[in-house]
Amino acid sequence: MEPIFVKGANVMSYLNRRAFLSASTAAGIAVALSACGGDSEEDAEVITEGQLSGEVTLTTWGSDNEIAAFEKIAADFKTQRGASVRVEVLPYDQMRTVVDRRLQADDAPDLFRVGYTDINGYAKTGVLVELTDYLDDDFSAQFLPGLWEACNFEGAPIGVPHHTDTSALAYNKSHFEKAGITEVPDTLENAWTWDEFTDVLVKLKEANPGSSPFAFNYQLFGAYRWFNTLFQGGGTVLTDDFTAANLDTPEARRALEFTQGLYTDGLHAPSVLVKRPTYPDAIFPTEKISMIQTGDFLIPSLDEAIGDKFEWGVTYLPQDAGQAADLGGNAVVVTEQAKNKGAAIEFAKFLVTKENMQYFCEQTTVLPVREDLVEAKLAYASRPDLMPVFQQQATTMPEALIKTSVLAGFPAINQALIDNMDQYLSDPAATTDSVVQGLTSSIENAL
Amino acid sequence: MTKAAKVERWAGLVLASPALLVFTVFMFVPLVLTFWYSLNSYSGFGDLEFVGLENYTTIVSDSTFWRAAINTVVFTAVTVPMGIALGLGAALLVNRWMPGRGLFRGLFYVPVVISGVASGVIFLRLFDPLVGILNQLANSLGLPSVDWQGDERAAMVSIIVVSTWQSIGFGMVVYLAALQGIPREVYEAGTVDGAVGWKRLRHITWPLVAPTTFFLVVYAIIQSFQVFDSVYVLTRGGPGNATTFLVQYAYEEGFNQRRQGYAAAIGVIIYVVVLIFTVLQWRLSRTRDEV
Repeated sequence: MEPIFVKGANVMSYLNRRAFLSASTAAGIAVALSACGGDSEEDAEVITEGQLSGEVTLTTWGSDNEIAAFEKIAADFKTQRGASVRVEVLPYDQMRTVVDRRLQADDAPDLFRVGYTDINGYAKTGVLVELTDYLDDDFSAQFLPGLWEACNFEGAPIGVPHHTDTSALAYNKSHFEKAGITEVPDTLENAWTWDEFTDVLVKLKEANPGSSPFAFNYQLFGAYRWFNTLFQGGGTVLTDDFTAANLDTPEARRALEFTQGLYTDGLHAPSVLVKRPTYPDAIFPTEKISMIQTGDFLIPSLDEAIGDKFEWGVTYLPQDAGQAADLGGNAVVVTEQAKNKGAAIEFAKFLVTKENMQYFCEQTTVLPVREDLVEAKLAYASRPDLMPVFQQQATTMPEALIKTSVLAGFPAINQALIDNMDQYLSDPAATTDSVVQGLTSSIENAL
Repeated sequence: MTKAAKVERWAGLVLASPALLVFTVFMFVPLVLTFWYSLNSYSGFGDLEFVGLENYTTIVSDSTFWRAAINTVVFTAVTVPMGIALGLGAALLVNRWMPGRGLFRGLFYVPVVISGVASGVIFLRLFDPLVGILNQLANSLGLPSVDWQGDERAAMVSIIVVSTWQSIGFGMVVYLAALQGIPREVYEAGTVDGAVGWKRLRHITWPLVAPTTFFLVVYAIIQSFQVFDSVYVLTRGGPGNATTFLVQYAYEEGFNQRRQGYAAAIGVIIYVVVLIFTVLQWRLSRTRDEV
């Protein structure tokens, strides 16, 4: 359960990512999920090609690019299959609350977009359609095994993997120049150590008064991205058998103190915490923050907001005992309450055809999850020069973190971070003992 | 019962039925359901699991609940007197003739009709620590920035400012009605006896608006216990739990933690507290009327 190290990866290497996602993750997640038992039915009834009718609603959040891509694919679906798809857009931080309430009110959308970290939280309540009967036997083989397994609950598919993404560091080149930092790591193995990273932030602080040197992207539903830091420090969230919290360790304490230190030393934007929807990517274009940890899916919106104001680039996440990045990305699921289940299932399948997944990924700068796209060279619409860093960084998702991220109790683990980390980071008097105790107790309640 | 009495009885029922229907659907049924949910473990969808009083016993040892309760009491203790004092001040200001009196009355009342979320968004533009107007203004004057969302006290102050701003208008309107009900002769007699300026306010106006003050205090306490929307927009209860209030905490538990049974138990507790104040107000105001 060591974090994944990628040595000598000095060129864009999808193979690393493929090898990682295909082998280690698949094995890990399969073990984690198969423990719950349940076999898919072999003789499933498969919906065949044919004209469909009516309308289905896809509820999602998304950037302008993501919504435009969904709309375009929905229009193609209408042309090819006859059914309309209404794309309903919600603010990201309202998505889960609204979908939950609709499920509660028996008025759920036909399909909705859901993160891999949230999907099994829904699956365990039985609100998602089990897709076994509606998929060809070889359907699953089209996807990276790790992400396919993330969309299975108790051995049965409950969604289709749509894309993946991860975090890296975006930096303001002019702020770096002012600080005399002329080079950033250009390979994974050269990624800054925590000490080097801290030195960079100190220089940025001195050279750019009025701006915060850095901000993490671990707000609200993305709070789990703090686990990047935990795993970089050699810690893990849970014990080896995933049955108990494992945060009362020297590694976890060091990761916590490293993070808190960035706040107390004035190296992290003080108001960018965990509980509030103050997202670093919204502030970075104002030049009030010199460097942010951010997801590849935000490249188009960052590029548009920054425009010609300043030059910016991306580099790798820092490393300590090892390297680590979060499992990002989303699946699409069909609800049991869907009024037009057949068309909804067919649209979910349509979204993840080779052509449509490629189109979506290219337009929205996210990473594909189909085997036949893994080694394809995608024509990313925004800043294609930045994507190799994210592709490389994606190879550093630790197996144990991915297995943790897809547990049915993970939404509650994420909530434990929101409740405990905000206090710890905002109050210099907060002790590591208290946050370890708070996190341990909350996470064990969630399991 | 005479025929006329029967007709009157039916007419009463028919006329009251729309209100009864609305109260039943939106008040009585949710109240009963909330109490029922509070006795269950319930995620919002899926099955309910009856747990008896477990949610209530958990609350007793829940430090976040007590922090939220203390925050709510502190918030109430600060905002209620401030709202009363500023409401009375505004009423005294616009009660006398002055240029643009109607405009000022309208301006003081505008925050009451703006939704809490909209108010929160407006103040977010002011209080945002990095790009907010207040800190940019402070920096341009050479003053240090205030971390309105990362500092516990500053965050609480920002919530208190918004809530007070929202409440002044209502207090003003109610006090204005009370002030206009004070007979001119009382002031004239007072003036003869030397009660002018501050003495007039202390010895004539303040005692004569006391029933209004009492109503406003109880009303403001009830409102303070229900503060939510501006908190949700401005701080989300943070940093940490520094601005977590009871309703905000119930929302977090019910909708983010998917613990609707627990949230319902918090809701029942808030209901009981508010009910006590309401009964208190009702009984005391009835006593006053009888006197």
